[in-house]
Amino acid sequence: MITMKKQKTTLLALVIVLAFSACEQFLEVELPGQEPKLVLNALLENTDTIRVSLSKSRGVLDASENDRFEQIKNGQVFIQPENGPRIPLIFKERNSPFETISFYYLAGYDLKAGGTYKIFAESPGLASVNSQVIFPESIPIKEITYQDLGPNGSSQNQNLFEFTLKFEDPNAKNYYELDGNIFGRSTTQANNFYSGGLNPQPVNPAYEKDYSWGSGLLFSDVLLRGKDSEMVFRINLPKGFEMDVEINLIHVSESYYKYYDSADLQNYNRGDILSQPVLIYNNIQNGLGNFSARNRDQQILTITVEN
Amino acid sequence: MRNLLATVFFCFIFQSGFAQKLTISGTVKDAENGETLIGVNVFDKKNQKGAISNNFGFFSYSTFDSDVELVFSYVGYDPEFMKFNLAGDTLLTVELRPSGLLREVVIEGERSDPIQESTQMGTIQIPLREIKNLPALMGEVDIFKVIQLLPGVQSGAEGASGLYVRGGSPDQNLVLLDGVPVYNASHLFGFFSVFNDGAINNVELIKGGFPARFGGRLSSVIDITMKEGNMREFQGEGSIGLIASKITLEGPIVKDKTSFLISGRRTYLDMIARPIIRNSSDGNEDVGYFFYDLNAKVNHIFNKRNRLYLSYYGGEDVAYSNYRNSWERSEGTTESKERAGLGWGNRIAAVRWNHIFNERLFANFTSTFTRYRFNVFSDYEDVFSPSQEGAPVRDFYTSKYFSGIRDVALKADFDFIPNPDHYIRWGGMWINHRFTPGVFASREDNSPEVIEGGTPSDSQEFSVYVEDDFSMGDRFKFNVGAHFSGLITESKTYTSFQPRLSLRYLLDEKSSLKFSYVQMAQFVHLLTNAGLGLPTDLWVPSTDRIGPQESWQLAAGYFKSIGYGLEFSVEAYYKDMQGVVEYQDGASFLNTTSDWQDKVTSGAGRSYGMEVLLQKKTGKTTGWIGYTLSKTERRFDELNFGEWFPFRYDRRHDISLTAVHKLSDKIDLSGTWVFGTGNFITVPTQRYQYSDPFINGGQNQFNGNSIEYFESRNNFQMRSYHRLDLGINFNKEKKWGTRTWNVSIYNVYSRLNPFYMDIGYNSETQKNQLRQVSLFPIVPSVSYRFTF
Repeated sequence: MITMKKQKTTLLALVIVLAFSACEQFLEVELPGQEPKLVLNALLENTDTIRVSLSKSRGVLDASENDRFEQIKNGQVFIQPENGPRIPLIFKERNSPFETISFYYLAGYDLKAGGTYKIFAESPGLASVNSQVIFPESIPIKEITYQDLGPNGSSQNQNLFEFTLKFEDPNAKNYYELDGNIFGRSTTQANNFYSGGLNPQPVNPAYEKDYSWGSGLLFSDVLLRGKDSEMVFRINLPKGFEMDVEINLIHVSESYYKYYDSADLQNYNRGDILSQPVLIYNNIQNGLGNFSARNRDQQILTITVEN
Repeated sequence: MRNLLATVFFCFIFQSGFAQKLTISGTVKDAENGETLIGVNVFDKKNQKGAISNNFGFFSYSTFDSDVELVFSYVGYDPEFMKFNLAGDTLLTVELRPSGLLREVVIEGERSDPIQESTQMGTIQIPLREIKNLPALMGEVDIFKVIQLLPGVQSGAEGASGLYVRGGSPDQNLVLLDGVPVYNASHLFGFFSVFNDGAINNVELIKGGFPARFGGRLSSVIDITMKEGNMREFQGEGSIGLIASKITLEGPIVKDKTSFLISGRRTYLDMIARPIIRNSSDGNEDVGYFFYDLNAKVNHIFNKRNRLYLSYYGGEDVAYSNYRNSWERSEGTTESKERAGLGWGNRIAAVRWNHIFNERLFANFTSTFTRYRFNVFSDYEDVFSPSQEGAPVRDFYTSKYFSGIRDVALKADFDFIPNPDHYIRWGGMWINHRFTPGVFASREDNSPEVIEGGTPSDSQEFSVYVEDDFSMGDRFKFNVGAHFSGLITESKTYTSFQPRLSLRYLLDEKSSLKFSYVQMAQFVHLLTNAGLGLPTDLWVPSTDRIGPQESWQLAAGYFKSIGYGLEFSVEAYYKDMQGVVEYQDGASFLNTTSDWQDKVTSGAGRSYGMEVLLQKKTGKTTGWIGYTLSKTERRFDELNFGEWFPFRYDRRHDISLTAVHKLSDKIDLSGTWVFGTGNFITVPTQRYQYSDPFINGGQNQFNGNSIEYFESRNNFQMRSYHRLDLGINFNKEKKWGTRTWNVSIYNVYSRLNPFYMDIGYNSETQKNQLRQVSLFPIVPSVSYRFTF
């Protein structure tokens, strides 16, 4: 983490450099690639409903960074399983005063593990887009063991727990996400509850990513050991609560992993002019966005941490 | 390939060893100041063979004839004709007198270092006259800025001294000062190089066809030799310019035996601004920046066979800000002090011993030390002294970021000239590297010091080489050699065998075709965040995770001496690079908590092109016209989705015109015009909605994040760069020496060339636009130079 002092000394260097910026000039230079594109964001998972978001991108010269993106309301979206027919999705709008939520949905559709799904989207005035993804197999959790490591540093209200999650990593390249939730009720006070995200912290520093945006742990199988794969992680659990610890081992598609890994890194570096640009993974043909899939296996453990 | 080279080499040695010849050898010097002369032509008219003096002025010519007539010729000097009746091998010293005028016409039968003769291609001798007389930014003559005007050499950002040679990056240039590598040759964030022209004797650039004696870098060798010091009389030169002044003093300590040279340069804007800043802040504030260079050399001749050189260079850039304040309250007085700054610099020292074993065998033994360090620091201290009883309370915080590299090396080089048809060299080198790649240390009050970042590491680098420059018949000449090098680290050892081959075919007396094939290896890398020559650039070794860089280069060319001092060459090349290092997406040098190896990735590069050079070296008007057509790309598995992308400094077209004209004894005119197609930068082209994976009441709701879309790395080409500089010198002879007023105009038509570009909001038009930042509009300057 960059401390204020580090920033100060670095700023000194930058000021000196920028002091030599004698002339600033805005140019009427054509920047190619400014035409808006259709943006498709969709995530396949075994919930009740498949949702797809369609929006329009903006050229980087077009408007300020904080303007909302135009949602596509008159588009057409289809999903097509392997060797199956194209199935249209229905548009739904749920705008509120504070945010625009609209999407195309398909309810009650069962996704088949290992199946390949294509998606198509069109909108007048924009190039049609398409993509495909393989819906991953669910990877069963073989075993979860845990160990109470005691108080976490100076905090007296929490204990650090170390979990070992064992599973079988199949052949070929695989990607995973580990997340979950914790919910508990106090063992001493009525109507006192605790809830929060799992926030797993990997023990192996090779899995640490300062830039992760979400509370899950995203990793690939490059360091795993096939049939005897395991992920060791730590979480904090509050004392004096009986906790339901929900642990999800999510098998994600390559597009999911690469998109969120690159997007998180780009977001993390926003404002750092000395960092290298981050190219975002894009698997939408003729457009932008992300079409990905994930399939989870879940276990819930009940753990009481005595006060 | 190795067996063939070894066989060829030993056959020629065997043949040479049994030749019974008479040898004339020795040293060629300037008759006025005793400086050794490099590259002097020694020509035997009768036998139509000759020799060239080496980097220490040593030459050796062997013949069967006892009656020999030799011509010693060198550009800018009167030729020396010498007749010998040899009874045996002869060791002598030859002195050449400066002609005072670069002669227009080359005397028939006399060679003046002609371009078509040598096997070496991709090599340019930088004329010092051009360096001193070409117009310069802010009046500061700069060797690297002149090198940037040569074909095949690209400059980086506007005004920067970075050199991109045939598609290579700045770390791929071996910059030698008296044989010692210089790791950061930049002042003022790359706007000036560290080389003080007053102390320099010779500058040679090699871009391809590297002889085996050079190694350790992929793309170029910039071999800079310091003057030795006038052996005859005390003299000096200096200049006073807008931003810096310099002075060079040289002379004998013992005439014709020991000489010294000392040269210094310093900027002084901080000294001028200091009283103004202090005055405006009641003495509480002090801000400034300066740089300095100091070169020193002592040269001692023991006898005709032994000579010792001691060289030193020290230079530093310092930027600082000091602030103090105090205020009183009822409880007591607080005094606050803050200091911040950054500094970087080189220290270089060398001890060299030349020894002539016999008339055919010359050796140079060198011991060197080089150190480059960079640091950024920040301190603050608050001391509260209570009004009533009680000890003062002190709070302080100190932090420092530093990095650097230190080398200690031993070298031995041998030149063996058995006969005029062979020039054999061999030698070896051992370097102990110590790398300190980015350490951040901080301490607050009485807490223990916290240290983050890389730990210093030692590596050993070694190399051996052998080469033979030999003729076969009248038309063919070869340079065949091999360079073997390696790096030993704590975890791994790397080695590399690099064959080198150059050949020249004389079409006629004035023209030739040349061809070369070389392999190169490089065990150190420069992690650079931008092409500015920022001192934050890190030198790191090859490790078990990040291997060495390697390349091979093919080149072919046509070379011709046209006459009247004109030389023409056209060269085409193809260079393949492996193991080039680049920062990964999102990497930032500010992050010292992670190992540098986690921030970089290795990949490949390729560069190909054609260079045309027409150069006039003699006469009242000298200069050159250079044109380069080239393409350079990079590819990394982890960048740009594994696709090839343009190198940032991929300049398709590059043109340079330079001229220096002696209007009269009192007035010189000079000018340069450069043109280059724009550098490449990575610019986003689209923004679009981020896909939130969490279902919180609605899929993909807009949560304030957007994605910036980059089509590819280096997807946008900046505007072309072009610039005209003009200069005029007014010379006058005085009783004490010569004085020159120089008036220069940098960027005469004030072209706003791009320094960098990004997307910015234009408040006038109220829309986003590409914003270009330029550095230097028209910059006139004046300086006063003197020699005595």
